Amino acid sequence: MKAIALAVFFLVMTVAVVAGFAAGGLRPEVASAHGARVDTVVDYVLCSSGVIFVIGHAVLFWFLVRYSGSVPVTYVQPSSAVQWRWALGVAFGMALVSEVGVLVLGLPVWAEVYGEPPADVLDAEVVGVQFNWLIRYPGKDGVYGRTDPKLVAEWNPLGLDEDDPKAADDIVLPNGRLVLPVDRMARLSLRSHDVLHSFSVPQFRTKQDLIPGFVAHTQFRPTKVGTYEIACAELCGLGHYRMRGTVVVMSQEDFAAWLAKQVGYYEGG
Amino acid sequence: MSDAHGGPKTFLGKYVFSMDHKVIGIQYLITAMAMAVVAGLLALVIRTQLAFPGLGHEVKPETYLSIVTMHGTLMVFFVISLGLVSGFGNWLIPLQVGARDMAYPLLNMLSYWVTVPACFLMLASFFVEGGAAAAGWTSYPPLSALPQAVPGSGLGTTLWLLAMALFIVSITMGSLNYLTTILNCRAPGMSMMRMPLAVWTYLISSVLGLLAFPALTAAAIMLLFDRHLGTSFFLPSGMVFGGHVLPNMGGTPLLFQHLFWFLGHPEVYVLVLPAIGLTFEVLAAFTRRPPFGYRSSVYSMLVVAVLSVIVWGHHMFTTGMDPRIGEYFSVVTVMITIPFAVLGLNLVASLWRADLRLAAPMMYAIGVISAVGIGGLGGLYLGTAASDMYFHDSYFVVGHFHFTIGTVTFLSLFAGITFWFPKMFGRKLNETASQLHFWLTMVPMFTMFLLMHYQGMGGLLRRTYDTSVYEYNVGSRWMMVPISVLAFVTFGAQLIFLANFFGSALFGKKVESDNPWQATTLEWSTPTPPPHGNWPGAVPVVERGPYDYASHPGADYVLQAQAQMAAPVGASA
Amino acid sequence: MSRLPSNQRPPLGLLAFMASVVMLFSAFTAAYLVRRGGTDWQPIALPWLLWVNTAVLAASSVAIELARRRGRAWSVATGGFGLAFVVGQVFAWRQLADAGMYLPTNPHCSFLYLLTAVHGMHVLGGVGSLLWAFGRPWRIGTVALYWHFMGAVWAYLLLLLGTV
Repeated sequence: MKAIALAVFFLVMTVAVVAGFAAGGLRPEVASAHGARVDTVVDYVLCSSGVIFVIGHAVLFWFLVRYSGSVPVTYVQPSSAVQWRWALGVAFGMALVSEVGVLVLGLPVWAEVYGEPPADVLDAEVVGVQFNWLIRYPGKDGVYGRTDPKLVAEWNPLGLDEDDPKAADDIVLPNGRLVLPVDRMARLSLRSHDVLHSFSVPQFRTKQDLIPGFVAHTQFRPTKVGTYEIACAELCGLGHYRMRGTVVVMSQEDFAAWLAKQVGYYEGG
Repeated sequence: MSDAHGGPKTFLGKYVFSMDHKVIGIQYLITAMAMAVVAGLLALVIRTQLAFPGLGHEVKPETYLSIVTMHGTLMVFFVISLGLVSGFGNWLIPLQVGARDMAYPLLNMLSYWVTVPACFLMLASFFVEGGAAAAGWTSYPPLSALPQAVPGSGLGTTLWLLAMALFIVSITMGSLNYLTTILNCRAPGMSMMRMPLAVWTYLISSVLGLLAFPALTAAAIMLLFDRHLGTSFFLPSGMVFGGHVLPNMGGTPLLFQHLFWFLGHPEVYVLVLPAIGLTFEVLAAFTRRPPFGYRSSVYSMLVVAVLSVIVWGHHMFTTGMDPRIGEYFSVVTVMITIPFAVLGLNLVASLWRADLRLAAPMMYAIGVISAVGIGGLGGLYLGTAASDMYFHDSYFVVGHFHFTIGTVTFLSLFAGITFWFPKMFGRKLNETASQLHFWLTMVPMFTMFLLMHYQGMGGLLRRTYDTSVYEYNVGSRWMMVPISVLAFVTFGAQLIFLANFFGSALFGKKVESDNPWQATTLEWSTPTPPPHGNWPGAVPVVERGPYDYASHPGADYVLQAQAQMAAPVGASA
Repeated sequence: MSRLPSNQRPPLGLLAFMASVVMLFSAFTAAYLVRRGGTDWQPIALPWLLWVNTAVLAASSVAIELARRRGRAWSVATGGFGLAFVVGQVFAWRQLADAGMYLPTNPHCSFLYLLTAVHGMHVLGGVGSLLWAFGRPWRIGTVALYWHFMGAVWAYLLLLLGTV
């Protein structure tokens, strides 16, 4: 009786887990080029681990039902050779499944995110602070101006150095809004002014920590116009849960128009 | 050590400052249970806030983060490690290897009494200014180094670090005791390959602990220095808080992460391996069969241990490390699935052609088998660097580790307690209560933590005080409520267990036999409960392996303590 | 299985603990090497008192070998040398402070204070273990092994701090 109950539970579990695999559809719709590849890796693991899970639990289920009854069972201890053959077979099979995922499917993704950016890459900088994202574009000169922590103030959250000529045309968006063109690789330089943060956009399948004292990089190519959320993915204090930003992906024409309207930080009025 | 000698006579000597491994083991177990109640209550606060934000409007973000931090810290170190490794390890190892006691009984006693102030420091940290540590159980700097970054990083974190230092001292003492006892104090005739599988797991766990904990010790000391003495081991230049630039220069927060996870990853196998070991012991007795694949299990555990020390970077895939190093960590991390697949095979195959007896210990053990499968497979999503980009710091991770070092370890603890309780106390647990507790624990735990995997699939992030700030995660948020309800059910079920445990220990029906489960290993050939020195006469001489079930015609089992005889002694099938 | 009697076998518990201590100093070494690669690395000169303390520690190792062979009085001498070493280390910190080198002054300096402090704590533990072995000659061998080990660790730390 107990065996049946256990077996039924495992059956329910298996169904739930398999249903859960179908709920891989819980993932927000992917909106970046490499993100689609990440999803392929996840789909692969869903399928392969799903098959292993079902087989394993089917066997468990069968053993529970078959061997808990009153029908006597003859048993001879399997020989050492048999035990080793099973072990090595399973080991080999598992090695294949796991490393195919990592090497065949995973490596190209990794290479895309950390590889050489294309010539038309768009550079932008994201600085994390408790609890906001400060966005900066290098402006027409293509170079980021100097920043200094000592210059950080309410009116100058990045600490941009007014005396640096290269800083004049930097475009600063201090309200957590990153604007990007669609179908063009964006490469972000990521820094932090205080504690660890992590820049993540679930729809882009992008995540990169912001480490104070260090400039990290991540890159992605948005593939769908729309507005997406930036979520901080590394505990950073009391406001971690509300360190929300937005990424606005526009068509390339709209982005060019938007960029032309932006005023450099120390230009104009 | 030859014959059993006279033990302590006073109450203090027998039950408080005892040097008897069995008493110390039970002290550890009871302390772990007390800490589990605290850590469990903390979980309920977390779940209330997550499922019903607003209802818990008294739970402010600082309180929430402290509770999340302490729930994790207490569970990992002061419940699972304390109960499974220090508690059961102490009680079981000398009995299973045929020793009178641990190699260093005084050190053993000290190891427990060092843990007690560690517990107090952890609990006291809730009541100091700023509250308990609030930077996560992982305590990453700069957040954990600076009180201005989060209130719990004031005195609360100092107490946390001191408590951890004491804990590490205690587990170091315990590990070297286990190692020495297992290697040097086995009964005559007990070769390494005649040791019960549980003993192997404690051996490997102890070696891992001895080699890995020092990294955390070093990190904790340097963090204390950064916090109180102005150094910059982990604190970089140019940090700005409240308009002020901090004077620190040149440190790197990543160094802490490397040191922490150099311990952190082996630590989970310090916990999981003994869980699997205890499960094998229970399986053997309740299948009436030797476990499948003794040798391949031993070698698999050794491979797990070796691999576990070289994969720590998979906790840091998103930190921006050189991608080639990231690839390395990914390739080696998923290799751990290989020995675990063998262990999983051996666990399942141990049921093949079994004569199943589904008493409470066996129910938990079977639950462990399934949990190992789910938990282990979940690791594939995280160990593959490309998919970890999506899952890192999400509820997928939370679900994964709650399955592996929550469900697996808890179920194995209950399997062990229900199995060895009669020998520990000479009384029987209430079987019905145990069965009820099993169902009310296993079903909710499996369900909750599976749902967390789905939430992670939806991208829901961890350590989040209020998830409704975001819109992308709306598909996962509804699961908060069932998870929280089940958490309350699970906690309530533990009260059944506690009532059963303490009630039966004091008032339970006495066992009629020294070997009520008809098991084979050496502990079942002692009087019940075992006296000081474990065997009143000579220690058994071992002439057979630990699992002589169904291997002699006419004998269902043969005690490991049984010498070779023409007609083996043991109950017929 | 035949084995040497336990007083001729290496004390396994101590060897296990020593492995742990090696890992501790390895972790600190890793931290040191990571920091060494930073742009603000400015090694400072080691205060000369460290060399005096080294001689004292070496003498203590000789003393404990004599304690093994000649008895308790040399145990006391070992303990005395050990304490003198630790006190000497504290005075070495004073030397550093007098030269304007405080704990947070620069990373090399921080490690100097840190590593001497951690090593010093372990030497104090060794002095405590001398009490444990006092009057029990069968234990002195174990303490001696630990004692020489701490001497070797000190030599290693000097090498690290002085040349790397």
